[in-house]
Amino acid sequence: MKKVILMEALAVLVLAGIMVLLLYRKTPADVPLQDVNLALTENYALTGMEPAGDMRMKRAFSLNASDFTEYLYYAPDNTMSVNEILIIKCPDESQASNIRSAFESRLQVQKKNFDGYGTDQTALLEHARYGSDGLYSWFMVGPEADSWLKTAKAVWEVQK
Amino acid sequence: MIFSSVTFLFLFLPITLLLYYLVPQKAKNTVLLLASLLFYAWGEPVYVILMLYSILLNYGMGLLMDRVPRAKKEILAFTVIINLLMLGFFKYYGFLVENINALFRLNLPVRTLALPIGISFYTFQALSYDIDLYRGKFPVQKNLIKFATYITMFPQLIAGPIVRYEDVEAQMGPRKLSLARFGKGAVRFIIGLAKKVLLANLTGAVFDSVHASGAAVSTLSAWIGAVSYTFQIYFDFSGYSDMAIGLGQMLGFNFVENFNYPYAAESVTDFWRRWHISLSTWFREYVYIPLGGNRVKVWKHIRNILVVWMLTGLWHGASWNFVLWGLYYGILLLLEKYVFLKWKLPSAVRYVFTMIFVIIGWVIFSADSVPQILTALSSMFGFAENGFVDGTALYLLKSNAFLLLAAAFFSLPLLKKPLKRLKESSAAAIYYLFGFIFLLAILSCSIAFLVTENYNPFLYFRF
Repeated sequence: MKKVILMEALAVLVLAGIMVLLLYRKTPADVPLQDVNLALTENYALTGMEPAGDMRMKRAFSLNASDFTEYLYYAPDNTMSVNEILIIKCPDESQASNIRSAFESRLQVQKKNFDGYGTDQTALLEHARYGSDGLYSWFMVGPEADSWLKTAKAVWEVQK
Repeated sequence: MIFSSVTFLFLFLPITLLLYYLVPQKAKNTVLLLASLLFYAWGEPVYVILMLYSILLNYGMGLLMDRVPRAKKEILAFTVIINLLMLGFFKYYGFLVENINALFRLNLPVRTLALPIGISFYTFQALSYDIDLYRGKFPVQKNLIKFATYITMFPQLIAGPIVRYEDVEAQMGPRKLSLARFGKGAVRFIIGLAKKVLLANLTGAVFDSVHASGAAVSTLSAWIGAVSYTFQIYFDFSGYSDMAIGLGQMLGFNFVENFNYPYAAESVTDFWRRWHISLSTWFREYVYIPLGGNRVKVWKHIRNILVVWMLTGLWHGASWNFVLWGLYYGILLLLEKYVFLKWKLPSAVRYVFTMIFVIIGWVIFSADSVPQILTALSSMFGFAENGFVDGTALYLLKSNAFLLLAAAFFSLPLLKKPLKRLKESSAAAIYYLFGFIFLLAILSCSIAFLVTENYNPFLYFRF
């Protein structure tokens, strides 16, 4: 019987540990993308791109706006620009990582489009930033992609 | 990772199958376990910890039950409580705190936890192992790899069917693999993929367009939206189950069937014998029957039905609309048992009523809030903002009539008997030839859709 109690106590302790770990891990806060947009537009000129909606997101990424809680999209404003920012907020965390393939496809298409003649564009595409964290997924191409990402993350990243 | 993704279809699945078939029989479970952990971690790596904990807890407590038989009952109670605590904490914590705050006007902090994908499914599988082990239905599983493989098997890990250990115990050892079995599984997988990509996604798009209009719809639009969702959820979930069962066959497993043409049901009771069979079976075996089932006084039977259906609703999610949805079915089943079944109605009338009740059920299920349920239902029953018919409704109907008819056709067993007859006749070659062409066509179309649609979440992943 002692063995049983010991095992049960161990199970409870480990579960409590896991709960605390998961509860207090560094996770992004649920903030409106309007705040992220404000932070980006206040700090950067965001040249070479323009705000875009459902149709352009669908055309570029084959993603349906209705599948997500909200999104923020700046599409290239001319055919020679590759500057682009897409930030998506998913209804739950598990869905965010599934968007990765959409970003990879977009990047491949864009690289193919500029391969051979658009050396500047290709260089920017090589340094594209895409990924996901919690509810958020991002795809950023541009000379300041690293800084944009840093700024966006600063809005939603909080230490719980 | 999801089945209907290019990564799964062209990378994960071929590599896993190749490795699985190349390694000796002894190592197959290890390959399947590692592949399943990778499959799970693809979506949310951090929650692998929770799944590993669940494996170790249920495996360890199973061994303990075997070694200390006099404490079997206490060990089972402890294991069930811990499993439910884990499920409750990650799934219902936010919901519970929000309701406590609302009820007692408190301001307790609500931490929104991400739902570990598949937790409802694998916890129920683990519980079936614990309870049936206690009941002495099978010997304890001493091999950790085999047990972990049972809990994590990627084909049914995140959206079922809920495979009871009792049903696959014999299959956890050496499994029969053959080309014929593999082929059968592949056919089932392709059918499931087509259901998801060609029918669920497209009917889902119709529902989304109606849903996005909010209250500004006509009665006809509201019905088109509700019917579209009715098809979407069926093809989405049964498509996933087909893919899971097909993958299982390819790997040498026989999983239980999860659907049997639910939209052909002539009563709500019949509907639930055909819809999400593995979940209904689970609740019947582990909640309804232990509560006394129907072999009790009427009031106790009513209590049992309501308890089971409230839990079924809650299982689907931490939200009041799911609780209402569960209770709605509980009440309908009781009415059917004690009132409606005494009326001798013609089959067609029973069918129409059943479908209307089912569609209303999905309206409750798909709503984001209770007020939204009321808005949607009032729109459907003549109190729509845009009148009975508007231009949008006619456009939706015209542009989606073929899709909705196709969805209705494939949701009913209209081809089942003729195809069976053809298969068993002397003209079986025609069956196989056309079957092959049909499969090739739906596979090609599905892949074409998948290439252009990068994101295909399954509805039941949320549960």
